[in-house]
Amino acid sequence: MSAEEKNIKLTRRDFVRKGIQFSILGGIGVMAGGLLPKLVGQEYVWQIDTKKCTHCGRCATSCIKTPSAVKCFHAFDMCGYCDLCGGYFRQGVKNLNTGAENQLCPTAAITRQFIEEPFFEYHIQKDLCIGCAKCVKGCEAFGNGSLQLQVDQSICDNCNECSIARDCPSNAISRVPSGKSYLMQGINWKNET
Amino acid sequence: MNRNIIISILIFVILGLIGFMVYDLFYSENSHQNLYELDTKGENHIDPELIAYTEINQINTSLTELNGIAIDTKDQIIIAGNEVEIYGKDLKLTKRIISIDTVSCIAVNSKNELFMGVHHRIEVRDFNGNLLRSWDLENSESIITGIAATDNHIYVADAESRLVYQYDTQGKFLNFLGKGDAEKGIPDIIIRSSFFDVSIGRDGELWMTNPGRYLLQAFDAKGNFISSWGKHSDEVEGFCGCCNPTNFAILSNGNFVTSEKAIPRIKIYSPDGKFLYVVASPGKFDQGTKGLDLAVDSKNNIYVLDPERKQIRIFEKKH
Repeated sequence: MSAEEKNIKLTRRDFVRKGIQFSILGGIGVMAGGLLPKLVGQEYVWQIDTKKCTHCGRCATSCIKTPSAVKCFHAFDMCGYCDLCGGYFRQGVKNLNTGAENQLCPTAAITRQFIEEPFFEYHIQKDLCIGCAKCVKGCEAFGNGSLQLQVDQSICDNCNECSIARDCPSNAISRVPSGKSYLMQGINWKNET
Repeated sequence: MNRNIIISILIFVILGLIGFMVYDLFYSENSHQNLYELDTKGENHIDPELIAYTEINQINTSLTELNGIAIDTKDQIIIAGNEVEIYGKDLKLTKRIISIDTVSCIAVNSKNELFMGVHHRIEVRDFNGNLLRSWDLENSESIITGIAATDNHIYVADAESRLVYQYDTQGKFLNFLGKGDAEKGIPDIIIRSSFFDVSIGRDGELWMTNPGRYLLQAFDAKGNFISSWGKHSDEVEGFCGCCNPTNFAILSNGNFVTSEKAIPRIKIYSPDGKFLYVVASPGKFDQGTKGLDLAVDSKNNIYVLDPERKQIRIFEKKH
């Protein structure tokens, strides 16, 4: 039987029926393809690897959000609760008090709270933090490195192409599974997105 | 003026402007600077005139974690970490002691007994690795960060309790050293990171760091406070950062060798705490290096344990 004879035997009704069947199957396939990764796979979010971060300060200016979605996070378990905190005070200050002229943070986003002599606790005010990393660099250079930069997942728009990742000179920003969305050192983070 | 000349000049001006903008955007030093970047490079500069030592040799260890170094009376070098390695005077490996647990610090006495801090336990082994005896510290949360041994006493620095435990060589607890006493003007030990070192002085006294106060303090064998020295300073004469020195050793003339973190550097101080000179400047170490344990051999060469490079680095005084 030639191919021409086969084509002749395909009636219009058969063609429509088969067309509908293919359309339904195709639709189911597309839906399954869209839903499957969400059911069995993971979403990915942008995050900073603190081991690679060089605290260059570009997170403050490269993010499309204003202020940046990158914030300073504090790993209290690593903190020395220092009187002379390298992340809080500018180098060479004479008086260790909360005077604005003594503070390293350009937006005064760190609060210093007396615990007991000579221990002080430091908290980051996220709404003031611009992610400039000055405190992070100061803490690493002169302290224990308990202040660390992270992308705040509650603020980040999770852009397809992260403008900070594009500008980062040390390739410290990459996509990570949303189940492990924070990469801080010295802390057992709950990893909640 | 000729119209063509004016057009040519304008074209040159426009091209010049474009060239300037391209340079300024992509090639200028300013384009790479960031308004918010904190510059700490200046802190690492040391006047070369102050550097009185030169690096003469290194030992590349096979350990993955390096925590402590000790040198015995025959100048054998003992390195502790995930294992214990012993090197001869010729810097060749002579013995490797496999330890189940990581050794956090080590000391050796004149009887060739090795005293190792392992979690909150002290293990005493011979040079073949045979366990001679061991005992636990009273506090199971103890973090042993330093150990020093004489022929009569063992001193164990516990960063958790911020005290030094004194034992006899058989492990019998004798006394706590380092307790603060406001009435006598003895400051409490302040530990802000897991560095708390001890060493034996020329007269058998015990020296310990008080890093949160930037001090070295001496106590006699009965626990009486003898003296202290040290000060905080951003200059090379003092101790920098939040908590320094991290480690120290004592030369045969009584001078102190100290190491610091944050700005990793090694310096020499006189017995009364006067800054003398620099052994190794921050440029000698990788960024973030900390825990530079120190030891001294019979020729007063200084052995520096570099945990980042997994090396023992040997420094000799310039002639």
